[in-house]
Amino acid sequence: MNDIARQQLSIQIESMDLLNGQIKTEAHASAAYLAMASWCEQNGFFTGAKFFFKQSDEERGHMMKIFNFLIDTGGSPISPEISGINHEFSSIKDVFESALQHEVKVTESIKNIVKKARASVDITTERFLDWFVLEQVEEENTIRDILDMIELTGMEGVGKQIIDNNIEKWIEE
Amino acid sequence: MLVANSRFCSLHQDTKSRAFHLNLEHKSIPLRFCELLAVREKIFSLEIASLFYEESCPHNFKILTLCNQQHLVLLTIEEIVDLRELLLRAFVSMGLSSTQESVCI
Repeated sequence: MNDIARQQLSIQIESMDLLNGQIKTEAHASAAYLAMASWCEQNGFFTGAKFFFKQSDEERGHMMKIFNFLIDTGGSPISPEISGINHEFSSIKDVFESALQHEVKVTESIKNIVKKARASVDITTERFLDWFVLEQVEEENTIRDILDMIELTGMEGVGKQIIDNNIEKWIEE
Repeated sequence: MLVANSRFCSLHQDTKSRAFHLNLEHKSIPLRFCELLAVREKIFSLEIASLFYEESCPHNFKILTLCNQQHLVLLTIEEIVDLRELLLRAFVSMGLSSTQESVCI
């Protein structure tokens, strides 16, 4: 068969579907971080808010990276619908624990696509995701380090203020 | 050239015009590849189970617009399921899919 379809699309169709799912996951993470930034602003964690605004931008950046990859490979990227964003947290520790959960979810989702791409010998998609795999190591590590810092500092007395000041270190990194 | 067929429909490709033709029971729709992807997305995003209860599918058929609203088609639930089967087979046949199972987005 003269391969018109293969000339138009450089990746497997299942990879395209999974990457569209990942676009949605990244967009959801971006919106979730925006909600966390809002909570931080309202509760006096102004450096924390700055951190989550930056994280939100980064997640959108990840989403756009996948979106553009699908365009470059001849696929059909889908603009995601986002709902169900949580705006309620019991403490700054709760905020960062939720952030870590989001990062773990994103990591597992990426690994799943790598696994499927490998199974269908879609080398283009597998290699594209290399960057994301390493990026997720860094993202998870950042949130874990902040949670360790919160644990060491404690929430009593001026603890909350020290926590907020210390978060600055991870914004500059 | 036939790419795939099913009970109610078939997909052909025309190498000269580099286009596809989706043949439904009473309509033939010419498609560029990106339009074929859009049709696939539209068909696979339908939740079949909900069609049995949905108000938008009161007489057991669904009205769909395809190719940037150039085409209007009426499909029964059975025809939608059949079209899904056709699209799964077509992408396997074109070497762009290794599975007959759809991936949920």
